[in-house]
Amino acid sequence: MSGVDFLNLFQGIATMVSGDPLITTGRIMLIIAGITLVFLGAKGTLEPLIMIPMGMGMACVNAAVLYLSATTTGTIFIDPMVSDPAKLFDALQINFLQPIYTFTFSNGLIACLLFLGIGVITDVGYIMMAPFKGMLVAIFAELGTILTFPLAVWIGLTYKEAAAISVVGGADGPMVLFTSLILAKDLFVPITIVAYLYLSLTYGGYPYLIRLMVPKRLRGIKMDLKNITKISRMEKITFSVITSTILCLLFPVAAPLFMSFFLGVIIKESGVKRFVEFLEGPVLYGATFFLGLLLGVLCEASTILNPKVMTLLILGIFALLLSGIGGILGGYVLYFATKGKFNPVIGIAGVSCIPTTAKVAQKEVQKANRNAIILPYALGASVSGIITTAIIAGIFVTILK
Amino acid sequence: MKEKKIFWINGTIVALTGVALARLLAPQLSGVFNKLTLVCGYLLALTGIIVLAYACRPANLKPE
Repeated sequence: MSGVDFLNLFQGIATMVSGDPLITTGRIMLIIAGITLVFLGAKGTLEPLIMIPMGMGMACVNAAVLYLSATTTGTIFIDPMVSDPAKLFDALQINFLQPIYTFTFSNGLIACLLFLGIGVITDVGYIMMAPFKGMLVAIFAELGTILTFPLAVWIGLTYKEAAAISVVGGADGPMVLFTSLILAKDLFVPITIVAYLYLSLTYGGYPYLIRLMVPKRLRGIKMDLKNITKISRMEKITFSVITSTILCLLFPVAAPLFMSFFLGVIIKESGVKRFVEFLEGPVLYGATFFLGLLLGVLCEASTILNPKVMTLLILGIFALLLSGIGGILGGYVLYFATKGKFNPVIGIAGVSCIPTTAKVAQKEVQKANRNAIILPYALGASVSGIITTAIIAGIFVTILK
Repeated sequence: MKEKKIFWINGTIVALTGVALARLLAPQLSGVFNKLTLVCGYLLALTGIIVLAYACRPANLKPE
């Protein structure tokens, strides 16, 4: 037994102790973090659709570092940094997740697939029944996006990196993915992970923000549901076609996202049942699953232990917190403008993150007043939030690219 | 939908004017005028989209 080299019995352990102590510590921490995410996802504390595959990917990729040659270590999961065509071709044949990463992540396809799926489950009628209120709240809810940008530049990030991290304030995962891929490709892995991690935390954190900023008496305000406008399918389709064309003319660089989202909306309103089933099932959940798994696998210690990650973590939470505060302030503006007829909690839904924030708002309102229903207005604000975030992301990309 | 045609037409025209300001006129200008035209264009396009959405409000809705 004395001749057995325990360190080399499992290559993952040998590579663990042979490398830089900082990377070794990082790998151990990330394995623990991955396992924790799986359990928190399974318990429902964090969003399970993203967190379970992401946690598994994170834990396994950090345990699976092996010697690729006598001197180099790596994994056979993915190589996110490969760019030379010959090396990329090798990587595509060796790394099992490389094809999905190269052909869906690097070109933003996965973000577009998610938007197609989100479009199919979104009803633009909610924004059309109260367009001014929804848009006003959504503009206020971009406070985090707007204020994080100068702060990030002041901290020392470049304009492009600052823009990419500030889009986290728009609380729209695919939009963050898309913007960081275009503006800050080197930081796209940590920025996207920070974004999705925090988007899951909004489910747990925003209720406290609502309770802190809105007294129970105001949380229980009933919204007028009797005068809700009935909007025809044709009106929704016309609105979607014109709006997406205008947005594409205005921001050609974000056109794939606009087209994907509104195409989903139009397919839903057209009642093409087969397409709806395909997009809201296999496409949406398939894209979500692989997004989570790839994000987890990209969390390999040597990739993610970038000195800028801590800065990104702080800026990400700052952006989302400010956007939440801004949204509620927008809700208060409408509360005073309508002489107390508007429930300020709806403001938090303007942060987007559809449909999580709308559900959080409805849940908090119902805790204060069991008969109060605000969901249609909250969903309208959420859809408006997607549009305002897309516009701000488009402005960033157009000006800074 | 027909009786609200005016909203659909006006909204589209306002939004397209915003696009023209932001994408056609702004690049021809420089300095502060460029920024000003760009911002005006984006705002006008957004206003056009809101006007479009107003086309769907019922004609007999009482003002709040």
